[in-house]
Amino acid sequence: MTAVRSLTDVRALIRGSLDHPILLDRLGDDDDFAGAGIGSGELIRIALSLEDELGRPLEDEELLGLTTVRAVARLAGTEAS
Amino acid sequence: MTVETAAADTLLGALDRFRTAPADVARYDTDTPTAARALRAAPEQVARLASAGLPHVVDSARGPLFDYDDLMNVGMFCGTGQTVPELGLRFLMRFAAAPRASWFAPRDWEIGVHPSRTAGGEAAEDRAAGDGGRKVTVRVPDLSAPGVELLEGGPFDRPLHDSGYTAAIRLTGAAHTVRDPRIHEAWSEVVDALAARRVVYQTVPEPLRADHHRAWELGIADCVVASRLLADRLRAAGLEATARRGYLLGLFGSDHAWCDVVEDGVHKSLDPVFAFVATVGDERGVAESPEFAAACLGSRFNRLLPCRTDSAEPLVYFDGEPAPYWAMVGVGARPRRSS
Repeated sequence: MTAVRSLTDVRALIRGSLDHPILLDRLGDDDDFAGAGIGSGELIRIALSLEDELGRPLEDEELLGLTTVRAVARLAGTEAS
Repeated sequence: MTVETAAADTLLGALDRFRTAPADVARYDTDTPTAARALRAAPEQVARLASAGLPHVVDSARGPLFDYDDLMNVGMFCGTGQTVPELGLRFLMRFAAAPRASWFAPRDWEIGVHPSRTAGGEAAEDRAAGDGGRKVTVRVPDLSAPGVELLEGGPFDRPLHDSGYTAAIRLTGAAHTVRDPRIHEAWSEVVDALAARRVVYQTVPEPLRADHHRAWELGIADCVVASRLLADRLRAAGLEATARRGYLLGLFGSDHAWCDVVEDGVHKSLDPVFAFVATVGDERGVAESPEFAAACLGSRFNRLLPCRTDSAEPLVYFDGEPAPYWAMVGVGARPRRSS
């Protein structure tokens, strides 16, 4: 398991979960995933990738918070303020 | 781990665990690249499914074409715990493991219903390009249902809305129990059949959902089939009951159906599939929860948004026909930002 260290790393994690990685290039750190066209299957893979990074299952409230790049980074404990 | 990294024959194990779509309702229109993407599998693995007997037709230009519902069942039953159907169920049901009070407390949601128009999902530019020639209509939230309050969006004055919509909605759950023995009897008949595996819980093609008695007799059911059957049983017993359909909200929005019955003038929700899953647990990673299973008999959850239907009709249509299963990937849900 490789620790996530930065928003750049988080973006790499997300990119690997997308059917259309080009979406990520137009996505700001605070832009909503669903609003940008990221579908349910991709969200599922983002959640799975994050669980793999954290080494534990995400709780329900954490799953509900997976809505932006920055939110994923926060959950990964790497938010760069 | 993804299915790509698993053994080449991983998917084959699913084939004897579900029933493929009867030929008269199957739609063999999904090609190998699309199937491989949907299952996160290599094209060679999909080819092996065809060789092992997964029904398909062979198109001279596109090669083998599969039924999408069959593919989803392969994903659900292959046992890796890593396919999108398996993970979707696991993540959406995680709220059942949260504290009981969280099932019912008022919760504000932002919902975006923008059905995908392609089986492989679509990039933003595709969405912006329009309907791709398809007329898309979707069912709107049922604002007359108990516990449903529109905060933003609409108007939703007709049952069907052209194209998609976004809305902010407050859902408030309610803890109820059921006392009428007729309800208990019908409930047990349906849930026990699923729990005893006399009827297999699996994805059912929409045309077969419309003929839910046939599906049940074939030994297969999903939430729509089970809810319609339960509503039929309850009405036959003299009760006021309706199969409902809407969205299960969580990491995303998922098509779901349940049943509404009126007891002592109170609308009570009956969710046989949630109860089944929470009763037996699930090898895909859903935990057993007797407390949640019990709540499924009467209680209303703040995760279920009912839409305007008469008897759990489809939520999305392309050119007036029920949209394929994959259209649902474009339904988003999130807790509303408090700003």
